[in-house]
Amino acid sequence: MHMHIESAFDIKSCLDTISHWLPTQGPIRDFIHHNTLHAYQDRPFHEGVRTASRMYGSHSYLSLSEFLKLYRQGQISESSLAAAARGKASIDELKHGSWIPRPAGIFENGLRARWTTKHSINMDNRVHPTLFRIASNYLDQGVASWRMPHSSETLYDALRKIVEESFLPLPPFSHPEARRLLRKTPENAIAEILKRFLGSEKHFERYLTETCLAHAGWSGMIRVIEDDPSRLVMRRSPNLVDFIALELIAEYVVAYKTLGAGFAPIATPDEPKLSIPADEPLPPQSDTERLQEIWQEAMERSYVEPLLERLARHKPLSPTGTPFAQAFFCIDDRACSVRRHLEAVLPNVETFATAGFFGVDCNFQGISDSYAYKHCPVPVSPTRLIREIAVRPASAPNKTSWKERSLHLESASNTFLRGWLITQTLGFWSAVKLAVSLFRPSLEPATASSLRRLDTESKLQIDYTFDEMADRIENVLKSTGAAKSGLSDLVVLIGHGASSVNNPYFAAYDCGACSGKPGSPNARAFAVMANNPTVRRLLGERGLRIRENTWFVGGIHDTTRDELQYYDLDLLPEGLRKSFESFKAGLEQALEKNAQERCQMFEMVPKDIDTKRALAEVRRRSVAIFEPRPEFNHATNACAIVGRRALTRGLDLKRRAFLNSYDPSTDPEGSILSSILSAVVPVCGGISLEYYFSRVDVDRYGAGSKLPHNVNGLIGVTNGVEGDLLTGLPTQMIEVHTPVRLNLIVEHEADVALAAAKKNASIFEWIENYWIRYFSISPSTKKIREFRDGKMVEWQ
Amino acid sequence: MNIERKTNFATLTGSALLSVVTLGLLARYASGDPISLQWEIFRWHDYRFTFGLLGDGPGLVFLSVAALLGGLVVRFSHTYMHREPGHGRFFSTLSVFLLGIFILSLASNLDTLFLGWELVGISSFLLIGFYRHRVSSLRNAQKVYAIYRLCDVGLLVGAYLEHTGHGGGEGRLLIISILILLSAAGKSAQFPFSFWLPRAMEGPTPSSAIFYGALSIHAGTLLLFRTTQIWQSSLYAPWLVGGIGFITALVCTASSRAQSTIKGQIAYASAAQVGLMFVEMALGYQNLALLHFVGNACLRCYQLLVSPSVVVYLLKLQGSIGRKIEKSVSGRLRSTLYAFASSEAYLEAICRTLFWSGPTLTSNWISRFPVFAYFGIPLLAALAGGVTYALLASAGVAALQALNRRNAAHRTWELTSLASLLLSIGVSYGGANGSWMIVVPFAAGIIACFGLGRIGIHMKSPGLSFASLLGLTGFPISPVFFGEDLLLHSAVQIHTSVAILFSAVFIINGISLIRAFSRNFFKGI
Repeated sequence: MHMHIESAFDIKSCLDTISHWLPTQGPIRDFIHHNTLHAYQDRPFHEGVRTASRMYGSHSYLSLSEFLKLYRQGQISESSLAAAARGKASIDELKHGSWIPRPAGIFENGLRARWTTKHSINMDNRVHPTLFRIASNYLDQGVASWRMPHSSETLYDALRKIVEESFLPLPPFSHPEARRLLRKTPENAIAEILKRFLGSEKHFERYLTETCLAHAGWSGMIRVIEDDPSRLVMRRSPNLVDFIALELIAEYVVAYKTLGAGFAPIATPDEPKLSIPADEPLPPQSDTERLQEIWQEAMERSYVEPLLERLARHKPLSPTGTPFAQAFFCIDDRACSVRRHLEAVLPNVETFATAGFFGVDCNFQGISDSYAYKHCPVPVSPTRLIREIAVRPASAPNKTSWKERSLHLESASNTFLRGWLITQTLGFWSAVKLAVSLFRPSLEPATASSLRRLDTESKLQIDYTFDEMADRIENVLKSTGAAKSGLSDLVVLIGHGASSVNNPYFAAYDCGACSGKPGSPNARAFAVMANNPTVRRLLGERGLRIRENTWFVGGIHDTTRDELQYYDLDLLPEGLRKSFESFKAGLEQALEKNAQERCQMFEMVPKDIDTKRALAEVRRRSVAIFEPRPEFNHATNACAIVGRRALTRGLDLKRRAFLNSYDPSTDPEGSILSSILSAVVPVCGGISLEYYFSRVDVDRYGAGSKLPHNVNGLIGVTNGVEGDLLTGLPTQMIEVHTPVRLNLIVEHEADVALAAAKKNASIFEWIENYWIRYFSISPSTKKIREFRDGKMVEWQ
Repeated sequence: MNIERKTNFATLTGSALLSVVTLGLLARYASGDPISLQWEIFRWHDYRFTFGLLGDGPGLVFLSVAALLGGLVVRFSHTYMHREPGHGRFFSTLSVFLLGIFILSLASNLDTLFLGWELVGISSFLLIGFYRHRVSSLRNAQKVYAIYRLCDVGLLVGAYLEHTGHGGGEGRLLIISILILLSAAGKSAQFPFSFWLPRAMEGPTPSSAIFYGALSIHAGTLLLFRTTQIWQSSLYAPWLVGGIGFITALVCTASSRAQSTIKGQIAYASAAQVGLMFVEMALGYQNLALLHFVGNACLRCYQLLVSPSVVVYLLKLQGSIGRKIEKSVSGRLRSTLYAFASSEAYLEAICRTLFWSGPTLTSNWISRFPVFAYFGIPLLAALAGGVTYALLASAGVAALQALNRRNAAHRTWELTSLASLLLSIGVSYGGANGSWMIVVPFAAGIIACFGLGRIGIHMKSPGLSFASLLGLTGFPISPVFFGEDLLLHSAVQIHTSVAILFSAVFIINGISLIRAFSRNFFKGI
């Protein structure tokens, strides 16, 4: 191809810079929580959100009227408000602040808007539907039954080839002008068109930024896959340059056809350059934003103040007697209440929590999976594979049985002749199926069920060396402090996952530490490895002795159904059977209470529901196709506590806390703490901020209501058939959330806590810029300190 | 009991009632004594407006499916729509829709059928545009409304031609059949209108399922069932019906295969099956088509309701079942087929050119040369056909100008009302003795609605303005409607071309008003 450089302006690096401001959410099958405004994290929180609001045209906080409502309900206390407002505003002003609409995003009042004002062309309406359809068809992972020809090539080349080969037009790309431009490289096509639109290179960056942000969802997705093509199973090689080049070609054809070849540019070389808010020094704060900032601080204070007081006052509680069993859970806020109920039912059980992949970083391939899925935190790149192996060879791998198929969901019914046959036959059956799933919901082929992730009859094939196994066991037992307190005879590891149906966001309900997958393979693998005599011998050599009569059992808790499943019970030593049965019964009882507690959050369920009914209710929700709220996931999350269970055992934290077990006495230097923080901060902070932003602006940062969503190419959801890809969380997941930043409380002396946080610059950024709030509680004196202006200062 | 529970209770009762009534009708039909109801609402000279229902035949099958799926979807939505802003609006619109379907299924005359059509059309507009703050949902709601409007008025004209038919032979019969077919094709998303169906998937999933999966999409089929005697007695019409159906089946199957969004794929697949129903009917297999309708309605309704499940389901299967990539065609032919299918057979562009570019171009032209448009055109019309045509031409000019004035709602209201008034004067001038009497109720209706609209616009009240809009567009049972109906009655008697001009103005007025309304009261475009 002709590679003549027509312009000095570097399109590629300009788009690289712009992609910094795009959402980084990947394909929906592994929905992973992250800070929506990660790109702004190098600025202090309030400044970052304010800048972002001018880029995307979004709200940064709740509205003043919502704050006032919380205030009237008592969720924002008088004293916190007074403390937050001190020296900044009067209470009267806070209560009667004026309301301003959301600021305009840069694509709403910049260069692109001139197509409408100057030429009466609604460019977005004319170009977006075609562009989105092309992107979606190209990236499609299995919805359409015709794959786009040449989809193994780049988007630009694929499209050019279709246009060149086709005997029929592909508007707007078969226009002679478009054909001419398509023969250039995408960079050159962009440069030529921008030159024609804008007259001068100084407007290029602004126009390109507006173009990308006007459909942030698609631009972001293209960029994410460009950076890591392994995010798609059927590989594609999209890139942002191609995508924007196609968009500009389409725009050019629209302008050319509507206005004629000699249309006037929308900008002139003489006029001053329009700036990009994110490149500017801090934008001035509006009056409303000033008041919102105070309200936000007051709301957060109203939550954390009583919490810290309770923690400081709480008398350390230990299990009664020697624990007959120990249970390891995920740090997930949904495990917080399960542990509380379990400890209440079985006071002689000790519980721990650690990131729910239990240190087992792996790719996992189940019996019926056609490829392996990553089962560990996002930043970790696993090198090892764990496979599930069928015990009875009769069940052939990689073949989905007819029982698990549903013709309603396959495209066969959407074709010509088979469609005709199916509608005439299976069609009637649909009404029956619909009636049954309405009145007697049950597990269906399309239900995402965490309990089905692993078969209880199968075996695991673990690809680690014994040394690697020992590393993983040692790491978890030491970091949680379990090694020090000594292991009981029975140790149970409970991973977690969720069940839901008719829910494209299913992955967001599973374990975040397993990249949005159920944690059962990890828990089970951990138990298998810890029970291995060779591994135990290696651990013994390292000074971590596991008694011979200690046995590990792996299991999973389905957080939607409050249901349990355990693995490899056939190997359980006879002598432990009794204590296992009583543990199991105790945990089941705890889950009933947990279901009852969860039901309090569901508006349509009576508040006085008993435990049995509550359990039935949550199970019904998990399989009901008409239930948009199978559970509330991480909604209401507000704090993370890294410390001994004694600090919190017996406290009702209302399912709002991420808990990570850690014994400061085993870690005077804070090196274990530092490695815990490097997992807890991005995982919990990411969850917290994703909920925060989706809650404060569900239309811009979130995905809006889930009810009209349309699945697009199995990679995302849109509204209607021609909308932008939606990022963030839908209304139904965040509506009960109170948007407070995460309060991370670490049990250690303040100087160690600060040093541990500072060890990793990318972790410290969260704390330093207040994207999470950082506290330390001294194990000896219980004195609480708060991170402020680079120091740990006394909390007041 | 909060408002949501009240709504749920009311709609549950309503759908139970619908089922009971349907069962009663079925029982009576089975006993060989179908229920028949005639209620004369309005009478003037030889003109009668009769509300008539008859419980038998295909209509009853249609109603049974509607009652069954309607009930299930209502139940589905009670949980699904919980806490959604606009919960009440959703259920009231759904109820209006089901009422419309009820009337449509049982209508024993075309006036009653028309009432059903209109209820279905208006509720479709409201549910596609359910998310009023989103530009794309309003844009698509307007598109669908425009097509519905074209079909409605086409049907009205066809119906009058049929009623006043004095012989005329094959030619006249063919025109009537074409009008009926146009109407059925538009409502059932057949060629060349198919593109609207996927674009209608903007509202909450259950509304898409019941409207565009199950019932609305088959309304055209029902119309063809009802009018079988008319179009089957024409020599060429069955070929047209079958041809349109066959082309649709091919074109929509292709479009469906290239759709990478699940709702879009189901929509096109459904339209393709309706195309096959047209073919079956053209071949004379009415019962097969009826069976096909029941199967398709149930299947598509269910498929749309569970469409969000597709991610889990297809990901599980990914790689384990072969993907149906067309291996039979390769090379340039494959690219050609793909370009055709992914451009959805260019139908949107075709319809835009056929039905839309004419009016908009003329409208722009009128804005550029207002003096000639307002004086020259009527003068020419007067020279060609007399005062009636002059008045009708002025009405046309006003209506077309309104199309271009969607930013200023009050201007649109003025121009459309003016067009309607000119129209009525024109028709009554040319009509039989005593036609003047019709103008009075009609003009009174227009003026009242116009006043209401001005108040609504002034007070920025969407409710008042929408009521006024319904009136001005001649919504059935509004005073304007009777006038419109009567005027059309006389228009047909004057000349067919008068009737067509008359209905063109009504179509354009409706589109202008709905555009101006969306623009000013929703975040429209």
